[in-house]
Amino acid sequence: MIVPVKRINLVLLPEEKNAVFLALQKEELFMIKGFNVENHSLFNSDQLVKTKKVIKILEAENKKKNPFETISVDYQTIDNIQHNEFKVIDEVIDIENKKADFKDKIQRLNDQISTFIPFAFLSISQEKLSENELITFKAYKIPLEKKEFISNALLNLGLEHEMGEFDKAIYLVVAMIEEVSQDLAIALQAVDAEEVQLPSSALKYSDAIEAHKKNIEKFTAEMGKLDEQIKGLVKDLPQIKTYYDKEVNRLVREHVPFKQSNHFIVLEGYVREDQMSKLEQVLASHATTYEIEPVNDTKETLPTALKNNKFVKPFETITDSFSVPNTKEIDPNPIMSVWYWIFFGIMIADIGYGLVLLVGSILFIKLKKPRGNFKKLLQVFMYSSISAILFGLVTGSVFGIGFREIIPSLPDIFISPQDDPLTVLIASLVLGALHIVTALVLKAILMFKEGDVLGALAEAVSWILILLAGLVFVADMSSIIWPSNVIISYITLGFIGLGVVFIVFLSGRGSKNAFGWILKGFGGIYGATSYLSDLLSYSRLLALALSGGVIAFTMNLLAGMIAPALYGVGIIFAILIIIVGHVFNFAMSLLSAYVHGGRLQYLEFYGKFFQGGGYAFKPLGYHLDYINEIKEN
Amino acid sequence: MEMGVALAALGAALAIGLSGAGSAIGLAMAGKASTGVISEKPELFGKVFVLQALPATQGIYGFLIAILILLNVGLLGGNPLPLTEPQGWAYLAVGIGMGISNLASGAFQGMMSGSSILMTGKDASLSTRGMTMTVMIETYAILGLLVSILILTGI
Repeated sequence: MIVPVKRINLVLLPEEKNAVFLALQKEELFMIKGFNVENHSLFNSDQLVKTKKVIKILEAENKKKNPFETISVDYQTIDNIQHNEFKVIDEVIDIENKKADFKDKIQRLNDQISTFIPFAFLSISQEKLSENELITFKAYKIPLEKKEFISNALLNLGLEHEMGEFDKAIYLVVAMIEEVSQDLAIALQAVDAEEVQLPSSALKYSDAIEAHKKNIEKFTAEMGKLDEQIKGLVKDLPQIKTYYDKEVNRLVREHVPFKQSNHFIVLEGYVREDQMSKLEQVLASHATTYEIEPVNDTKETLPTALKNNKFVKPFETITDSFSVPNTKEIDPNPIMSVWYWIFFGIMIADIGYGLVLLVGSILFIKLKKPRGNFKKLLQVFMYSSISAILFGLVTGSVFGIGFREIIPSLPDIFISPQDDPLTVLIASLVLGALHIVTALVLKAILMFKEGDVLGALAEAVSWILILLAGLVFVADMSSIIWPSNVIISYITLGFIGLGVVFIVFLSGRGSKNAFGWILKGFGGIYGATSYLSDLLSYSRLLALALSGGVIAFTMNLLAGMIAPALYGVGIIFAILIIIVGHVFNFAMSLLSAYVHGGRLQYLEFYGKFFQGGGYAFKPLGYHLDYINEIKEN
Repeated sequence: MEMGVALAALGAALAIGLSGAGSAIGLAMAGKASTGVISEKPELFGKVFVLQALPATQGIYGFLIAILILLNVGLLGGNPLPLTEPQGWAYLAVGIGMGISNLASGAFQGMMSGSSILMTGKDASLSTRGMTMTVMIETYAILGLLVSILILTGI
């Protein structure tokens, strides 16, 4: 149900701000106006960015990760930041910087080596060559196939030179002598020589390469040591993660927006009306002076606060991911949750799969301690698995095996989608009609509340009459449940007629002229097509139940066929088929049930009455990224 | 082998062949969009993966109908029933209806799924809405499946 929310201002003493904020964060009673912690710029703080980086580095090193490791802290811990906590973070950053430094150095040495290698043949260092003031030396790169030609040419010219081969080219260092420079130039041109600069080096290139390689080895060893150091710090990961969340929540408190006067600070926000007294209690115990000022004449849209029981609560996430209800409508969650639960169960309808889902979701919640919407989704699965088990009892199927295949003496009371698709189809459509009727009842209530009685008759009551009377009429005509009865059929036809009359005469109630009135009246009747397609849409209940059931059955069949093959070796393949096949089918059934269950609510159900467009009441609380739960100390 | 059985086998082949093709096209289209989004935002893998998996169902429906046809005709056990030719044509009709509806629905759902994935990449909170829009296309695969089953129970 939707609880009324009040717009209030909290007046506090500045010196008591911190204590009160802490208490508010813990109790989650007060929503601060215009303060959205998600995507807030506080996450860009240097310290948080740095910590996140460290967590990433350590996570990458965390090889023996325990998948069920969770972090629980108490309130005292989360509110208390110790000074030595960021020591480890700085240490990791320091090591990481050193590592980057070494990496940089190694990169530079490697770059240099690659420039030296072509000239590794040179028996004298580049420095010495350049120091020689009498003769200049030049270096050239020449295609390999011109080797003989240039060697002969150099020999003829009698020039001092050295030459070496590298990577399909000749590298040549030659002394330039005035007298033969013309001839040399011609020879060089003939072999497509390309002049290159000799890289500067004090050592002979071959020696420099050796020295560089030694240094690289040394640096790599240093880096290895640093890696070991980081590995040694992995054990501090939970502590660092806790620190991150502590820092986030400290920043959240710091960024709470307020107005300041000389002696007071004023917090603008909202409180649930039913939690007003609790808020007062909290303030009384944490502040000496405070005031709660109600702000009544506000034109702003208030946030929507939902209050539901343990079963309905997780289903709120399904509505919220469609649209948050606005404050003026009825909370659809209590009714929607029941329908979602039923439809989900029908679409899986297998005791085996239901049990796997039940146990799996409970274990996941207990061991991984998920938070927020993901936890709610798992709870939806947990509750809905019970429905899957119940409908599994109706269809009489365990992992695609019929009860009567296991115990042949059982009476034939099961309704399985494989054997009686028509029965299940009719049941799906009837459930669909009832689902739509519930939606229309909610619509009628809403319209009555708004005082639009004629509208409620035209758009909601009329279709409720048509659908319900139509169901009874069809049941009567088919004489399956009771023998066909003329009186019943006339009464139901009468109700259907009444519904049609409501639509024809009241749909055009707002029109100014007769023409518009008639047009709208018959336009209203045309709405029948959309109701028909809505109804047919529920046939997916049968289709999905059937597809899950038949695929499970097929996997069992294939496994059974292969088991006796190959003198018993087939049994291994059979087990493999069973496991892989059922895991796949389970995952696809779950996805289908979740998605199509949602679709039936969003389109067929919410399409009739739900307005949405509200925003959720999110009180100031703890924002947790890594900590799984905060316990009472 | 009887002509009827051959026609039924053709029906099963069309059901799985065309539906499988539809899912394959759809999954590839959605997959292309996924890789783009995940390369920028790897943390969205969970949401994107669910969206990408949506066009996988058509192939499964096709598989389902193919198996049902094979079971009905007795081809799966190796002892085909003596079908009449009209019965065979009816099984072929099932395969054609199933195949075409699922080919188109799978491929186009993939397209829609791809754009929902891109939308999720821009704003992850919209993924459920994208899912709902994408699932609308599956309705026609489901109707194809339903009519196929209804014909199968009637043959």
